[in-house]
Amino acid sequence: MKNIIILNLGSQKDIIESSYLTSSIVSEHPDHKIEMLVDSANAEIAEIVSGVHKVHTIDTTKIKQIFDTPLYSEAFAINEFVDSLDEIFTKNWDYAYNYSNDSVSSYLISAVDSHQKIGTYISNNGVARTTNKWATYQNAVAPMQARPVIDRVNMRNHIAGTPVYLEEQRIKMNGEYTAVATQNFARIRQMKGSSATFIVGINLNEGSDGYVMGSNTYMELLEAIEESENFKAVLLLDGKSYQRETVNELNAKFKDTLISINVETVALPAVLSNLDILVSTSNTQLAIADAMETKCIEIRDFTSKNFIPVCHTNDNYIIQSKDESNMANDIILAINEELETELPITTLSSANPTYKLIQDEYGVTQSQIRGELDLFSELSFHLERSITLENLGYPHNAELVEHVKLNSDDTQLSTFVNEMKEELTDTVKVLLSTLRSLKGMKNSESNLNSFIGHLDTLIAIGRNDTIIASTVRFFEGRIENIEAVDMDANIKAIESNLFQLKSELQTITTLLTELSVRSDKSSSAQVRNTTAEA
Amino acid sequence: MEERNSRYELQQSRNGLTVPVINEVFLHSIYNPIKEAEAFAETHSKSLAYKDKIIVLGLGFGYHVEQLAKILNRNHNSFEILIVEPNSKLVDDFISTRGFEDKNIKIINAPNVTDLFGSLDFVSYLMQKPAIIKHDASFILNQEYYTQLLSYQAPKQINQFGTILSENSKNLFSERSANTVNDYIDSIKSEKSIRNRNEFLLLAINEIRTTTVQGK
Repeated sequence: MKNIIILNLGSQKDIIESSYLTSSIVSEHPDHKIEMLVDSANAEIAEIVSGVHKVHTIDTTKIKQIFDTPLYSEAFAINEFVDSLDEIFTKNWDYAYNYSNDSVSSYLISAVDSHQKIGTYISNNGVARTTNKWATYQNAVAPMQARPVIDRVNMRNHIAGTPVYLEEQRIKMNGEYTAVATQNFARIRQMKGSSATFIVGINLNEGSDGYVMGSNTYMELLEAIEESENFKAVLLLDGKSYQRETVNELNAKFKDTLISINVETVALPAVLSNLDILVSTSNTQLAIADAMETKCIEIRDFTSKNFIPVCHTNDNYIIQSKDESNMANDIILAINEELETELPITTLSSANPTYKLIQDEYGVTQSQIRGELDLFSELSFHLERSITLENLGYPHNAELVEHVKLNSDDTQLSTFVNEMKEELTDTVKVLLSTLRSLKGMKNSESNLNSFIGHLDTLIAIGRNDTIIASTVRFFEGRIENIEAVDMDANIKAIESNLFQLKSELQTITTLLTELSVRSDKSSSAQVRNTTAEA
Repeated sequence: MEERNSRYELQQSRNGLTVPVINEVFLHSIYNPIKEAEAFAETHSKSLAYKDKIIVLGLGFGYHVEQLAKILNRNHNSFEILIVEPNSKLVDDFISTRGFEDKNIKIINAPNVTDLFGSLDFVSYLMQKPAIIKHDASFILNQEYYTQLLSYQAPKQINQFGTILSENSKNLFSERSANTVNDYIDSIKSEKSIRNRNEFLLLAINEIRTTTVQGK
């Protein structure tokens, strides 16, 4: 039996995601005791995470408010902090996991009395260190990615060294609420005269990206659902006044026939488990539904800077809203696909990119199935995923390369490959200069400044959001993790990492060569044909 | 306190209600304290419509507080009133003579402002951003006290935290000598070597203090 403390001071989404870890741990070791530290604002959410024996809370908002207000003695903030953590810091833990990977947790994990730390921690000399390559990747590479290529759930489970057990229950269900919800939903299904009626949940809560579905989208979606003999819509609220206004507006159009449910967190799993499909912006309710394997359609803002989906479950959908006028149609299309139904649609073509989540042997990824395609972005995403997984120890994904070659336009693929080759060549030049200057430094310490200059130039390449930049950032993360006792050991470690970077860039070169083979063949085939015509 | 009550008496108003008179200041109307209190409460009706927590500076003999409570009751399902009164004799006389029937009304009797801000209950209540309403007669009588209260700034020096800092919290500051929490943390950072668990905890506190609060 092991005692595990998970520091999870992040968002509600982080807490729901941690259910994949807790349930996996419990699956492998049912006798392990897991406790979790969360911000007090998220205590309710933490209580529904499966596998958590006890939830500790700390009110960081109150602590900060006290420090920020000259009226209040800082002593109160310090007492609040110390009292909140007393139980955690008077206990010996087998494992302490910095799950949320924030700066507060990184210091706390260093203070916790644990046999083994997992994730990012602050060392005695004040430097952030990571406990394995996945944690290094999480710290150094992932934050710069507008669209992370490695699924966060998988990444975090890897950091803990625990596979993701998808068949485990991740969210706690309250028996009483479940019984009541099941009865109520059975009645709702019967409103359409059949217990086989599909219930579509429509979440009125806004997304964490600020996106709210337009009223026309709600209207068109509800029209299609309510007019169907086989479907019934249920509007989900969580108490906010703007949601109530939306319900009133919609009910005015639907003559008060719409069903809306105001759901508290504790009852949410019971309600979500009774839906056939949930349509929702990216928020906590969606995260819970996804963790419970309720079919989900995630609606996101196309203009949002980041594309970090809430959904992780195979076969769920993500639709980016680029053209609001087509949103309802795209949602209905996804519903039809998923439930094998025939709700009316007006068009099969839309500007809104639609993705499907696909579980492969490497984890979960998103594949675009409809909408305007930015081939360069999609290629970059999938290829970077493949390269990253290979650099993290997975086998080469030959199937992906073949798939890309077969399904991409030759000209576009060729352009992509050439652009990447150019960036790669520039990066390799800088890398080789760095290695040469390192060699020079070994001969004479006066070359130290030259070496540092080249190293800085190399690291600066990592500031972009490209496949090659990510590889350089991974290198940077590794060298930040070096704990050498003297200059020579330090240099040796940096050198070793430079060669590892070289090897990783070689992986990219190999991949580009494989992609080029088809492109070159096509180009030469065109030349032959042209020549034949002449 | 003796100075506070150098001339203290309880008189009867024309309609038979008790009116304290302290150092020749009538805390309520000697004619009709209730009518005066109603008018007083009405002047604050706007803020009472959207605030369900208030602090009243001055107990008087409670008539104004009861009228404020009536307005709060009309506007809110629940409310809280906290009265700050430095005069212990007045508080004792009030409680023994009348007291408040309404459980939503509480009196905090703190003869000095430092003790008041040393109370976790008071500070926790303040953090809920209540409306602050002056009882003018009480304010005039205890002007220095209430002015100090309204302009209070908590001491930053660790050695002035007094009894507020718990024993466990005091342990965090046992390794180094520094005036303020800020100085202590700067001292840890300047050394580039974190000595022990307590220093990691202080650096964690510093992160909470200086970073934006995590969203939902």
